[in-house]
Amino acid sequence: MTAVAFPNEQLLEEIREVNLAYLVLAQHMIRADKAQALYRLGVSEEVASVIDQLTPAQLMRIAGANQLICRFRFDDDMVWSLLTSHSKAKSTGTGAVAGLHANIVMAGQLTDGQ
Amino acid sequence: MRIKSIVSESRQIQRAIALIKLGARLQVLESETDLSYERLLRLYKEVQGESPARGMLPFSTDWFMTWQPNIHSSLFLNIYEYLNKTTALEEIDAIIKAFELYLEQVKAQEIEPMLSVTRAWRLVKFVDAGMVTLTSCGKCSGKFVTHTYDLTADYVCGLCEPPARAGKGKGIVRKLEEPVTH
Repeated sequence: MTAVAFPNEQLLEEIREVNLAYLVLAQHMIRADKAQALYRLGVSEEVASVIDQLTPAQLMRIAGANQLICRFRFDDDMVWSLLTSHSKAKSTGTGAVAGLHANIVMAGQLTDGQ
Repeated sequence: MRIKSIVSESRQIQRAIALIKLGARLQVLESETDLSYERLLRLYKEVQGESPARGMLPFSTDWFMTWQPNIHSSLFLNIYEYLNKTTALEEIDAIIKAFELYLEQVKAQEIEPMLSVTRAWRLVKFVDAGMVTLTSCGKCSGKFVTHTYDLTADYVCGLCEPPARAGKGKGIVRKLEEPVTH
């Protein structure tokens, strides 16, 4: 019966876990070094302040949704093609530095509409 | 210059230690802190266990334009600009944090870091002086270090179009051709 009533129970549990892990990690990074955390997370300073202030109870409540609260930070084809062609480039003449190409393009993009 | 506040002095010492640990030359410390030369020298020996290297700092912008160094410098400068735009940091703190992130990123790719913190600091000073800037590549839209007054209307980066000899050396830093910038 329960399997029929909640067919996605397993899935929801996994989403909750990812959300919670993400929020806890984000909070930890923001508290350790805010400037570097903004770079790693790709969120604005305002969002970072909100995450920083969340209580454990709030974290649990936010995590327990049926949606993931983090999403892909890059949505242009160039970044994806650079990321996926990385292994190919490594074997050709341009050598190891080709792996940094995606990183350079990614570091140059401010996310969150800034 | 005499430092009045103990809190400010302690912050400057912390900053100097962070820079020494990252391998900064003494000239960087002299320029970025108000601590006396003698104290910096003692601090350096205490942290590194040896005397600092002597000699002048590299002063040319050309190094940053050669192929591999250009890629490393561009990664660092993009990170530095990112930090600068998202948070209010003092310049030297932004350099330290950006350089740490650069080292992390390069090591994650299993590449030897090519940029030293002293070079990174010089690079930021060159940007401040308007001698060097970031230019968007017409192909990948990534931003790369170029001379400010290069003609960059249809600039293509050294990764989209590597020079003919790129990557042929066995990890030795060679003077490679500059990417075509005209």
